[in-house]
Amino acid sequence: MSQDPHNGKGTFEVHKQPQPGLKVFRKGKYIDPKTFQMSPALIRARRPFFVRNMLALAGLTGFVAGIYGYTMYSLRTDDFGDVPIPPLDPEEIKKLQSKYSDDSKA
Amino acid sequence: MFSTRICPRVSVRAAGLVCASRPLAGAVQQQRGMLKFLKQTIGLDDSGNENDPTPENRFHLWDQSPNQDIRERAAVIRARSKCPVTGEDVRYVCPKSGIPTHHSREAYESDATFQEQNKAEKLFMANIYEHDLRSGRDFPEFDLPGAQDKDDTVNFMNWDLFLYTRDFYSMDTEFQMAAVTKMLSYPVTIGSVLHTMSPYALKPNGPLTLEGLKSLAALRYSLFPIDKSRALNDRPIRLFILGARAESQLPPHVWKQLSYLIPTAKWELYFIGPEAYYDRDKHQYVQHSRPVEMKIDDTMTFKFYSDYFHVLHEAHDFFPYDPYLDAFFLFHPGLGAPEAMDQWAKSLPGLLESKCAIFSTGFHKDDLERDWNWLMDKFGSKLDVLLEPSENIFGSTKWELNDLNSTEVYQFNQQMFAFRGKRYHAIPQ
Repeated sequence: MSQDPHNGKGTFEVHKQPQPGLKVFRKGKYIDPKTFQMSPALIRARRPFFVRNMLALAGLTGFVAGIYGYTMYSLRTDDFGDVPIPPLDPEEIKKLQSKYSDDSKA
Repeated sequence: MFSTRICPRVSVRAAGLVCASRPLAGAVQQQRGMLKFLKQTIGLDDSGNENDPTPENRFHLWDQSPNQDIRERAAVIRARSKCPVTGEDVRYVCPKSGIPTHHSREAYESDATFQEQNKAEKLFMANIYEHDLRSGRDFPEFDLPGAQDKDDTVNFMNWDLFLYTRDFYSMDTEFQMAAVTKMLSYPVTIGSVLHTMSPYALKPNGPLTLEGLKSLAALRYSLFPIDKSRALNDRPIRLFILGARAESQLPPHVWKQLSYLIPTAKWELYFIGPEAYYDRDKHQYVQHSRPVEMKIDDTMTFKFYSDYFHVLHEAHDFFPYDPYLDAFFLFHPGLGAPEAMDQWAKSLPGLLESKCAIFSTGFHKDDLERDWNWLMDKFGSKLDVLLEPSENIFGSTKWELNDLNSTEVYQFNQQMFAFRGKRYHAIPQ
C-alpha cells in the first residue's frame, strides 16, 4: 500500500487484497516466523479465552486419561482363567514336556 | 599428537589477529546471531531498536521538552490553568508526570481527588504518548488492512480482539495502541454499534434498551440485506456527523475501515458544523454556502456542510429522513457545555423530529453526565433512550489533558449514550 492514500491525483487506493496464507504467519504479524513466539498483541487478544480453553483442555485430557485408567484398573486382577484352552493330543503333550525339561537342564 | 593438533589452531588464530581480522569477525558475528536466535527462542532477547518506545525514553518534563509545541503547551498551562485546590496560577510541576498541575507542593499533596483517581498516572501517560508521536520512530501500525476475508468474522469484544480479527499490524506496545485507536475510534465506534456482532447487549446484560434494539434492528435491516441480489435501498446509508471537527479531517482510508466492517452497505457521510471543512492550503476552517462533496469510491461519499444542523434542517436540505437508512453521530458535542448549549437547544428539536437514532459520546464521565443531565432536563419527555450512558468499548486509549485545566484528563469517545425522538404517541390521539 502506498503511504499517501491520495497519491496526488485525487484518486484513492482502497481495494487492497488480503494477504494469502494463514493469518498468524503473515508479514509483520502476530507470530515470529523464526521462533514461533506469539507477539504481546496476540497474547492480549487470547487472554479472554485462556481460562476457558485451559478448563476445556483439562476436561478432555481428564476424560481420556480416566477411560485409560479405568480400563487398567478393571483389568488389574484378570488372570485370563475364563479363556478356554483348546484340547491337546497326548502325543503332543509328551513332546512339549520333553522339550521343556530338556531346556531346563541345559 | 596433542601439540600437532593444537598448533595449527593457535597459528590460525594468531594469523587472524595479526593480518586479517575479517574471518574472525565473521565467526563472532555468526556466534552472536546464534546466541540471539537462542535468546529469542527462550524469550530472553530484549535488544531492539534504540528508538523503540518505552515509558523511560519517552518521558520529558513538559517545560524542557525537546519539542517546541509541547513547550508551548506547557506555557499555555502555566498562563491559563488554575490550581484546582487554591485557585491560583499553576507553578508546581507534578513530579510523577512532568506536567505543571498545582500552585504549590502543599496544594498538590492535599488534592484528594487528584490522588484518588490516580490522575498523575494518566497525566504521565498523556506525556509519554505525546512525545512518542513526535519521536520520529517508524509507525508500521498506520498501515491499515484492506477488505475483510469473507470467511473471517470480526470480533468486537475489545480493541485487541478487533485488531487481531481485522488483521491489523500486531500492536505490541501501549504506544502503538494509543496512536492507532485515537483515529480508529470514530469509524469503529460507529461500526461496533451498527454491526450485528455488536458488543452492546440488551438490558439487563448491557446498556441497550428495547427501544434501542428496535432502532438498531431497522438500521441492520438495511445494512445487512438478506437477499443480496436485490437492490433493497434506493439510496445509500446516511450518517450525519454533527459538530464535526477532528472527524472530518480524518484521512479517507480511516473512514474506509467502516465500510470494510459492513461491506454490504453504501455510505454517505455528512459532516455538519461550522468547523466541518478545513482547508489544508489556507490552514483554516472554510465556510461554503454549498456543500463540498468528496467521492472516495463507489461505496463511500463525504459531504461537508459548513453550517449548523438546525439551519440545514429548516431549509429541508436532508428531507426525508428514514430511520431505516439514517443515523446521527455526535462525537463529544458538549450538549451541556455553556458555550455550546444554545446552539444544541436549536438543533435538538430537529434531531428528535427525524425519529432516527442519535449516538453521542463524551470525553469522560463528568462530561457525559453533564450532557445527559442537560438533555433529560430539557427534552426528557420527548425522547426514548436507546443506549444507557456507558463506557464506549472502542474509545481512544490515548490519554489527553486539557491545557486550560491541566488536572482534567480525558480520552476521545470514552463514554457513550444514544437516544431518539419518541416513535409513537403514548396515548392515541
